[in-house]
Amino acid sequence: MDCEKFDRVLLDLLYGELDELTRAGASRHADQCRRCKLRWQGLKATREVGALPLDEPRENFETRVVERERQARVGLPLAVRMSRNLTIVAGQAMRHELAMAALALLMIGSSLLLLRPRPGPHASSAVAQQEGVPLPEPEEVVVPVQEPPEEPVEVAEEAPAEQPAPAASSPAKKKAEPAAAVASNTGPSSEEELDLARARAEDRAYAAAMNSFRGADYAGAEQQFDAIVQSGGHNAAASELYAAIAAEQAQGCAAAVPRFDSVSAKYPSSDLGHQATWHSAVCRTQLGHDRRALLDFQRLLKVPAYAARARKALGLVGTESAQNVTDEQGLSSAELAPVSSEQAAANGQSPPAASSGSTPTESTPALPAPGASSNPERQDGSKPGPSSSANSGTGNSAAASPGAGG
Amino acid sequence: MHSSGKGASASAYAHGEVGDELLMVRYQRGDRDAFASLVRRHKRGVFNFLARLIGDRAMGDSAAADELAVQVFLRVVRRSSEFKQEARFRTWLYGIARGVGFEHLRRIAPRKPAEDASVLPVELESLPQLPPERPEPSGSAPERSILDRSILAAVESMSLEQREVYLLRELGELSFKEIADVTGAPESVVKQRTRQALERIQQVLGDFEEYQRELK
Repeated sequence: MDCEKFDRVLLDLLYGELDELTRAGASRHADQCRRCKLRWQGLKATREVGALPLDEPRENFETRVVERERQARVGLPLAVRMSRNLTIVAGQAMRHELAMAALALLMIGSSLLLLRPRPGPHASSAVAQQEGVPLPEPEEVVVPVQEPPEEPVEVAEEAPAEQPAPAASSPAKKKAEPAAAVASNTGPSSEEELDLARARAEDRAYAAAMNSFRGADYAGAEQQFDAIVQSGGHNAAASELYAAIAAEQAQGCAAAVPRFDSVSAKYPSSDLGHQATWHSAVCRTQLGHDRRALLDFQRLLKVPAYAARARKALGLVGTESAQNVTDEQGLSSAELAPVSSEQAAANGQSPPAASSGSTPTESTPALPAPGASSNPERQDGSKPGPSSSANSGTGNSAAASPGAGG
Repeated sequence: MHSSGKGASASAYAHGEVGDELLMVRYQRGDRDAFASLVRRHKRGVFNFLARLIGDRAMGDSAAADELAVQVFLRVVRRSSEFKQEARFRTWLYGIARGVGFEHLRRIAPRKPAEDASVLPVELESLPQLPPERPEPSGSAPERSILDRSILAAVESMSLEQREVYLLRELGELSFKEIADVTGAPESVVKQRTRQALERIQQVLGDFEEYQRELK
């Protein structure tokens, strides 16, 4: 090992992060090189003598935290509490035997799912084996029929098996019967299968994005959620909020605020919109845009599920200012406009080190599960999820709880 | 029967037989004793991390750091469902603590730009042994030796970037890779900053007998 390499591994050596081989090599080098030895000894002595003096937090710290934890749990939205209680009950109930049984059932169920034949291709191949020829096109099937139907498939379905058919058409009829069976099997049911498959694919994509999010890969999660939003589907609304939260984590508040605003505007009376408003307000507080944040918090005062925390936030941000800001007219257009990252950077509102990385920030909303819809008042005609419609009226964040997933 | 089991688990928690990650999972399942144990284990580290990160000058006494430390654990409560057992609790916790600390610095920075010297890098040459302008915290401030005060002054004199990695390393006991994950900085940069932080302390320690003795 030379001095240059020693320098590179010095910190690892100091904190015991080197493997045995490299550590031995570094020690050998330090024994032979006075310069490196002095550096090593100097930093080692610094760590030993210059250890940070530790203070104790104030009295009853633990008691205070536990008490506030209790209060925080009481203040949690109903859905979150319910899901936690469910987790507790499940934790108690899922003893080893039950867990194994559940696992076995899951394996059997999933294997059955895999074994289930696909209706379209299987039916077609059955016809091919029966006749030894490929399945003819529907138009070819109906040509020999004496009274040509307007819709070939309907005629094929209506053709009774006991009805005598012309001898010339017999082979065609034999072909038509399986074709009719195919038609009846692959019609509406195949569409259902397709819908189901599509929904499952959407849920898989959503779950993958959630995994990235939970794994703190916020940049990746943002892209994945954005892709879900682009492709639409029943997870698009929740994904839009998550993309904004991921953007906050990955790029900071300046980048996330416009996204939260977009979600708020799209789903104004739903819990999804309220969550976005809350995030936006918190972000604006961090960016120093207190007046606009106050306005958002004031809006949330009208939402029962957010009233308490909004009131608290208003108290933190500044009660006096809150009283002064009563409507949007009290704000300048610049404050009302979404904040771009360039603006924020230009204003120097976010310390560079603080805006980078995966630092968790303000409270995360009750996380929407796949299928959690956004807003019963949506104008795009999409159907609201059952949980959303059930809860949005009360403003409860349970609207974003697991709903019509899958 | 149930209470004795609970008592036994509380005892196991108190003796550190159960890992942080398992405690967190138990808390996710509703075991509040597990949460209390986590608080007990990490309150000192988190409090000191925040106190040193935001700097004494910014708060005057330990009240701000104390309240921020409470906020960190409340955020653990709010985000408990996000924690995965595969992750290291300590990394997750100090990531949250860092976020809370930076939010505090952001909040006070525009309002007290002149007072908040801790967020500004201070030239080493201007580093005071005992800063005369520094208000002595009232009441709760512990008695410190000259060595300790010098160390703290050196930490305060670090840039915010140096200070955060140094504190995450020394108080959070995070690896360089974990610090890189938490801060978003490359690992090589994290090491460089840690080294600069140590060298700053080293420079302050040069005149102390304890340091000279350790060198021999």
